[in-house]
Amino acid sequence: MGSRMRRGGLLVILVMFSFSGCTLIGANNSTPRFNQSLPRVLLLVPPVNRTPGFPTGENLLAWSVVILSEAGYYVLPPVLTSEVFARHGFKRQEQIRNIAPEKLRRIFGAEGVVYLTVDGTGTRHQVSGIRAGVHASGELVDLRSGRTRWKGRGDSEGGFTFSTLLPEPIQMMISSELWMTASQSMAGQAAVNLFLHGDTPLPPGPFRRD
Amino acid sequence: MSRLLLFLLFAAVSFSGCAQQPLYAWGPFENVISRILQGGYNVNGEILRMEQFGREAAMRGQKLPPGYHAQLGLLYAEAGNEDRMEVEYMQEKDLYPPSGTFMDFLLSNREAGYGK
Repeated sequence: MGSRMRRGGLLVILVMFSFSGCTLIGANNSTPRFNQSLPRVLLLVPPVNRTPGFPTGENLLAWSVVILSEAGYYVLPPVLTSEVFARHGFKRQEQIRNIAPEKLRRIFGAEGVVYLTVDGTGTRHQVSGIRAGVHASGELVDLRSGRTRWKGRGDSEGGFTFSTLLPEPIQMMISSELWMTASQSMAGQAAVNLFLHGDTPLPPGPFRRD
Repeated sequence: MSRLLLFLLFAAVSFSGCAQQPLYAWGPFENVISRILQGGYNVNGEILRMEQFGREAAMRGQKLPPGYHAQLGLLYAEAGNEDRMEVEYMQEKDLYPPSGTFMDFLLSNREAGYGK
C-alpha cells in the first residue's frame, strides 16, 4: 500500500510538473512587447527575384505570410493585392516603391510595406556536388512616415552530393529537381532567418493571443 | 506502471520545452499562395482544397489565418461565383477588421472585375 501511494504521489508530481513546466520557464524569458508605433497592417509586394527560372520569390513571399501572421501582424492577402497592382500596370517592386504612400493607405488600409529581395547561389564542385544558397533581404517601410522601420537579412544553405557513378545527364536531372524543391524549403528557412534570427529581428506584432 | 511513469516523464520533458501553440491553422494555405503566384493552377481544385481544410479547421475549433477567406473569395470570383466571393470577403472583414478597407475597396470596385 505504501509503495502504491508513493507511485501515486510521483504521478501527481509528474503531471503537475508537465503542466507547470511551461510557466516556470516562460517566467524567466522576457517576451518583447509590440512597439505601439510600429505598423500593424502589412502589405507584402512582389519580391525582387534574382533566381530566374525558380519560384524562390513566390515561395519566400508565401512563407513570409505565415511567419509575419504568426508573429502577430495582419498581412494583407498577397495574391489579391498583387492583382490590384497588376491591373494598374505595377508589376515590379521598383514601380511600387514610387507610389504615393497615401494611395496605398487609402486603397489597402496598409500601415507598412514589406519589400523583399531574394538571391540564389549555386556552386558546382568538382567532386560532383552542389552547394546551394538562398539569400533573402527585407525592409519594412512605415507608410505613415515614409521611414524605414526595420531591415534584415536571412540565409539558408544546403547541398546535394551525388555519386560519380551516375551518368552526368542523370545527375543534372536529379540536381535540377532537388533545386526546385529546395527553392521552396530553403526559401522557408531563409524567411525564418530573415525575420526572426538576424541581428535585429522583427519585433512581434500586436495581434497575438497574449 | 513503470511504463506509464516513463510516458509521463516524457510528457513532462516535452511540455517543459514550452513549445508555443500556433495562432492559426494553415493547412494548404502557404502552398496555395505559392502555387497561385506561380500561375498555371486549377481554380476549382484550389477551391476544393481550401474548402476542405476550412471544414476540418472549423471542426477542430481552429482559426483560419488572415487572408484565407479573401483568397477563397478571389478564387470564387475567378470561377464566376460572385455571390460566394462576396460571402468570403465579408467573412474576412468580420474575422479581421484590419482587412476592412481593402475588402470594401474590392466589393465596391466589382465592375473593374477583379479576379475575372
